[in-house]
Amino acid sequence: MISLTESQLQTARAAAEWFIPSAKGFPATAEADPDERVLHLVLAQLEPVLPDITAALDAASGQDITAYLNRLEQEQPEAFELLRVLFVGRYLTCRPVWELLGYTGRRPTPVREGEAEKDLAGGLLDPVIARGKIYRPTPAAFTEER
Amino acid sequence: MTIRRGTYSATTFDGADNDIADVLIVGAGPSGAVYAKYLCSRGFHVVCLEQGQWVGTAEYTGNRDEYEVSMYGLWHKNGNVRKLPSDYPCETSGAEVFPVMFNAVGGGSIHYGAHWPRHLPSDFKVRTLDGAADDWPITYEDLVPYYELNDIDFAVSGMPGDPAYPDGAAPPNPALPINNYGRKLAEGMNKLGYSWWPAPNAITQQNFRGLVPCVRYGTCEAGCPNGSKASVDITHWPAALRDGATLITGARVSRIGTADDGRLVTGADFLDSNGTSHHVRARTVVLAANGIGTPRLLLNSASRDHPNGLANSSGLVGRNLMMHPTAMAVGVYDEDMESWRGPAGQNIHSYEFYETDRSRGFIRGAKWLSMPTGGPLACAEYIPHDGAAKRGKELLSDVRRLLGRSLLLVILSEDLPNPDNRVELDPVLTDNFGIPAPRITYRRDQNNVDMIRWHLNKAKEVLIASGATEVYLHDAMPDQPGHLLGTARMGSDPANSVVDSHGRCHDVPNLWIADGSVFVTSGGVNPTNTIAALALRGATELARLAIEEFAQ
Repeated sequence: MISLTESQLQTARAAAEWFIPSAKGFPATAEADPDERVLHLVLAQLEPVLPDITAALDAASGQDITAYLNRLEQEQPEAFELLRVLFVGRYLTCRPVWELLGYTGRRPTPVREGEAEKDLAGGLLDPVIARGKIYRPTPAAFTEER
Repeated sequence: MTIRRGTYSATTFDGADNDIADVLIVGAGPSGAVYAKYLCSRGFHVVCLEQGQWVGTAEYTGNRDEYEVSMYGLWHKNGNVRKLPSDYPCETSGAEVFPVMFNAVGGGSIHYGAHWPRHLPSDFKVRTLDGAADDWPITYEDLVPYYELNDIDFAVSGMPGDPAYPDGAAPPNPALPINNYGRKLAEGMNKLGYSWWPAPNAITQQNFRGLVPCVRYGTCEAGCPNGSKASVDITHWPAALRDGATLITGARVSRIGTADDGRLVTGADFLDSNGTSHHVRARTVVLAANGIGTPRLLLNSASRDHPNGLANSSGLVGRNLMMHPTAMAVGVYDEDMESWRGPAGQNIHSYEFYETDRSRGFIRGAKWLSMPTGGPLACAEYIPHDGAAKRGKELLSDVRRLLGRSLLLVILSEDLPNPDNRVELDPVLTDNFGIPAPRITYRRDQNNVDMIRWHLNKAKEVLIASGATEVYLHDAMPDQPGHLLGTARMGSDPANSVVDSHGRCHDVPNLWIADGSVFVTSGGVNPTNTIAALALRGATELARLAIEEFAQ
């Protein structure tokens, strides 16, 4: 399991609140991911860019997080983007947030009998078929050679 | 011949100096797998060197909560970000689009969306029809038998009768549902009188050769966790191995060797993960390392007899790189369409604006296709912003508006060959074994810039006609799709092509190229179907010639 230092974790908590401040109708990150399980889940997926993420967190140590992130976005957009993916991605990976968004997640949905036909019902393809072929054929000179 | 059959790590390779394979294939992606399966079924001993590993479906994240974030890290499309041991670096500072590849058993078919269109008849005769680029030395009709055989091998789902194509055999599976959002786009197309059709996908709807029916996770481009997408680690390699293939993983090929004053290739040098060098001898070598890896290897195989790179007397190895610049329009609707549902995969496609109409101000065109918009993190990315990135309530409001209520209309454009768009060896950058890495130069030409601008405006009209309340346009994207084509083109004249119409090198007759490098023009469609058809045609010819030679 990937772990952050205590200092990095403190910065991460502050940065999470900056990216997704508490808002009416949505939980704060700390409420959506109270035990930071999702934080570590997404950090594991970001393992190839983890050195850049931890470097950006370390650089914020002791600084006002708002000023730091505003400056980072202007001066080091690639580093800012990594933090954005981490914190926005983490928030949008939390199931309580999914429920509020009406998102079921990626559930297996086998194709039902007749479903494909139903999607095309009402003669949806009729005008396309009536119009007929639209491609340019191989020029005759090449087919006559055969 | 004592090279062990089966699949195993390069670190355990124990072949002897006097072992000679019938055919050595470099790369276990779609084109290499098609060659291997066909040749093994006819009794050839095939040895394949693959720099990646086997990937199990349990490793894919598509059915896990962290899937969307994984696309920014472990499953990133860009090997320069992913940095797996199997990845090699590419110098891309001069490229508007970065190359998308995946080094593993299955190759690009692990990451592809399994969109399975054929090239169109006009794609093979661009010079004759439109006065630009060059004609291929083959026609659409030459490839039809191989397209039809591959439809079965790749478990294709589709609906026969598409008016954008000549008539032909039906795919083995019926078309997948186009879903609510595919229907929404189709209704808009109908309102404006435009042609469309349920799109073909190499995704099965039945138990077939190790595949199981699709359950529409919609995560095809990071590997199918359900094992429903036709990636060749499932569809081809098990059959080839049953027929006696040798598939060596973790084998980074550094050089193709030659003999007889450079007139014939003799095999390949490769390194295992410990950095130990090995050599495999072969009567015939087939390069299936994609449109970047193949020219890289040819250029790295320069010798006294081939000072500019192997098989490069034309000077065209690495040149004419084509990458299919792709734009998209996002339509947002009032109703919930569960538009995260797959496949992804494509729902409907259209060739209404594919053929040349000079009144538009450019030649050639683009394929349109619809896809799901994905989950909440994907939806957070679709609305462009000026200045500071959106966050907090503003961001969540965007996500709520798009999630489940939007669709992607993707514009996959044809890019014409340009010799200045190319793959070279970087003078400084190397991979982890010290082998020179590729440097990629790729710029879109004005024809493509004009084409995509025109198509985006037309796409907006269609989305509005389909009931979209908002439309967001995204110009050619640097990370989409990065197809790798054209860098060892086929032709009849050795002065202006690298291989003949079957993929056999003009300069070195026992060296063949199987991948998208051989494309003369790109067409404006996803290329894997045509790459696989060309590979099957090439493998058939290779076997025919070998059997003919044996009989003599």
